[in-house]
Amino acid sequence: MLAQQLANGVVLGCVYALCALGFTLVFGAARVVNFAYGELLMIGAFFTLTVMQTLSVPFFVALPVAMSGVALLSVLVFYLTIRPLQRRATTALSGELQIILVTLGLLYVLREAANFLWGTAPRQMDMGIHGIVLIGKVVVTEQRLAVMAITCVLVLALYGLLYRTRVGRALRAIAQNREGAAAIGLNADRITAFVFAVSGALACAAGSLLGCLYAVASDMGASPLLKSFVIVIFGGLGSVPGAIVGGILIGLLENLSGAYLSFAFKDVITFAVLIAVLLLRPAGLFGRAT
Amino acid sequence: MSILERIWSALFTVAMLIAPLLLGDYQAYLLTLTVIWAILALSMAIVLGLAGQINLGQAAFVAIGAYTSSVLRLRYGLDFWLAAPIALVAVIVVAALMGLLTLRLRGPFFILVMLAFAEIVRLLIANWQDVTNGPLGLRDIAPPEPLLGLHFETKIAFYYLSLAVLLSCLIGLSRLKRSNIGRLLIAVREDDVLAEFVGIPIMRNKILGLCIGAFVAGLGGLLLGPFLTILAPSQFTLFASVDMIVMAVVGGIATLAGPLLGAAFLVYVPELLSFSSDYRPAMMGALLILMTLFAPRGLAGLALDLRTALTRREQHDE
Amino acid sequence: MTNSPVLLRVDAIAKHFGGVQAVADVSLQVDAGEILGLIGPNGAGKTTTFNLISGRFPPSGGSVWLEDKRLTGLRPDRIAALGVARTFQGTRLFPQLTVADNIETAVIASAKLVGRELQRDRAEQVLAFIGLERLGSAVAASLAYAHRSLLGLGIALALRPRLLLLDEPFAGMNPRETVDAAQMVRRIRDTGVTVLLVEHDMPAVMSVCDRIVVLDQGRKIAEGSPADIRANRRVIEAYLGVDEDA
Repeated sequence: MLAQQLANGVVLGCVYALCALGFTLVFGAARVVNFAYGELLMIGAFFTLTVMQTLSVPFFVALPVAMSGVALLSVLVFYLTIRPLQRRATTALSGELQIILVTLGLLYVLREAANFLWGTAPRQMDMGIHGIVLIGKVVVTEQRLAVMAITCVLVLALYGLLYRTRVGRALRAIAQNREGAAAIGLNADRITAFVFAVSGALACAAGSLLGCLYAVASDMGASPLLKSFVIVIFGGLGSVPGAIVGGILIGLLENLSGAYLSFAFKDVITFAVLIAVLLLRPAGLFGRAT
Repeated sequence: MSILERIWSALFTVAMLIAPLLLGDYQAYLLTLTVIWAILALSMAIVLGLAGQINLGQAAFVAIGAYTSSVLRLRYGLDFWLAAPIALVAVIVVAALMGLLTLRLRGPFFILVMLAFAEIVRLLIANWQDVTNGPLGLRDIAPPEPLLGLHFETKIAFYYLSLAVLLSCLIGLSRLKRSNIGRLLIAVREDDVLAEFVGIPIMRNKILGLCIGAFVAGLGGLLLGPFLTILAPSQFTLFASVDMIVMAVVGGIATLAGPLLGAAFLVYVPELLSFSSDYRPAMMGALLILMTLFAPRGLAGLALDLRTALTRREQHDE
Repeated sequence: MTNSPVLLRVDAIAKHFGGVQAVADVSLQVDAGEILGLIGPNGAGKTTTFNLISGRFPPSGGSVWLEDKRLTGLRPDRIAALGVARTFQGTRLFPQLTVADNIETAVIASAKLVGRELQRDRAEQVLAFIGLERLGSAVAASLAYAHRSLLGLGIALALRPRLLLLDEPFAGMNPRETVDAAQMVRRIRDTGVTVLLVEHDMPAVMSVCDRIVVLDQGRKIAEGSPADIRANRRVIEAYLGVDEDA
């Protein structure tokens, strides 16, 4: 039983890790906490579903299309709402707080837009992979294996992007030192836009996977947002390994506390852990204290 | 206060005093709602302005004020006027504790912890069946008992009570702004690094800012119980806090008039446009985005800009 | 000056950030009533030393004393209360407040028990001293650069400090402005305030300071009068090719 819970927890953790990666990248590159991130995830899931249904294609074809769509949406969000605020001289509230306000507003707008377009009833998304595999005494659905595989592929792709391309190098430079990077000619805005695109794509993937595991609904974004927040703080804002490790840990924690402690209070427990971590180590496990 | 400000304040007070006598029941209800929301919006503006943080857990302070006073009255038979100060003390103590723990955290971290705190408060209320009656909430909350010969059973009397609370807050805050304590609080908001090097202990002042904001939120909570006659944990979610944020942002946090404008806007505009409550979240979201991008100092800020533009033009013409 | 008591004593302070040793071992003292200059090439650790003294962050080792009071590890507001005030490079102000309010706020912060009238008087005195009386009701954020620096100075002076720490007071000034600023520093000293300044501008430092301490790579390499420093070989070498037409 424990092994089963662990296995399920790891799979859930993989999806959470994907979520958190998108979230932490944007923070690392632009120091932005995107409260609308959960909604991008939700819209990503709906995009995949819609592409699957209207074009009659399987999940694995729809996913990249949807990921590009959300990437574009994410870039639009950056240029229309966040970039103007980053450049603004602060008047009443600091730029950071204003960005948070705007992303909060986006949260509502995107969710209502989804309600309008797709209604409030939850939908099912079918990955098209059925069947079960037995590993020792643990039952693992093939779908869950696929989820893990997709996560691994995306994470590897991300590492490739960060460490083997020019853009990735530039991104890491900007994350380390924004002003210094600008001084040597790196265009922070364009790179940030790129990061938003990648973040959107990851959100879409995470949302679609969650949609397959559970369901697609217009309110599905709130919980992952909160958890990404928790994970990223736990693992350190801007830290990629932190997001991955943190994601898996939170997936495990949630599953285990849901199974062994209390299903109703599993979120409270996650929250309580979060508060404790934040108070003890404000920079998280892997983070740099800014 | 300048002469113009004095005139506006006087006009405002007189208008608010006469209004219910001229309006029907429903309009009087809307006006009372506006007054209570104005108090809540004010509380958020205080936290935004003095502690410099977005408090997504502000609804929890309202909840603590509302629930503590109502539970003391319903279950322990306390008089409103005894329950109220106890509830307010509870709010301040909780706020001070949370402030001590969390105000040294940066923006996003603070937001998250306060969000968690708010959820925990809400879950506590929802699950402490014996005391709070859980998700079903408290019903039949009576208006405040008579005090010093004043009765509050009628809707109009309750309106005047709420108005008195709002005006007291405005006067108190106005005094605070000009007092030494207030000016140091404002300095911390303006530049907390400089403030510290000038000799102002910033943590202490930020906590004070949070507590003042929480106190005002608690006042609003006290009034909510008798006004709505029902209290339920579902009223105090994240959305409630965002409501307060939107009111504060729409109205503008730099002036005392701002939150009042914001509350009025959010009560009357949907009314005038016959807004279905379905569209409310979308409207709130759109407002947040548009105001922050285009009118960050809120309606009050726009009004100030307009006045400056007009007076400058007058000087030009002379 | 040699008979003046020591006001500030810095004992072997050190500071490392992660792997970088910004300040290795710096000791100095400032006599009451003198103007001490802290100079050194880029990366010498003078800004870090300055920040350590003003309490911006705690040292990794060593201590700082104001007469017999230990300043090390105190929060900046406690240090300000003990009579140490500082300015900030690029000038920090309370942007939405008026010039007069900026000064008054500092007065209130340092003299809480003094009455309203007296507070306003003190603020006016400071305004007059720095020459910004006519800009009293201007909003701080709208000031020109030179006035901003003056206001920053005024905020520090409003605390009636015994020790004034100036962070690159001559930065961004043309020669004419530098002369005025130097005179301002001397006037401040004449009111009984001891001054410690960090600076890059060599001519300015030479003209205004009584004594100079030179840092290089986190250590003190020379100390003495401007004339001594000008002739000091180690100092010249440390600056490596910087033209010393002082």
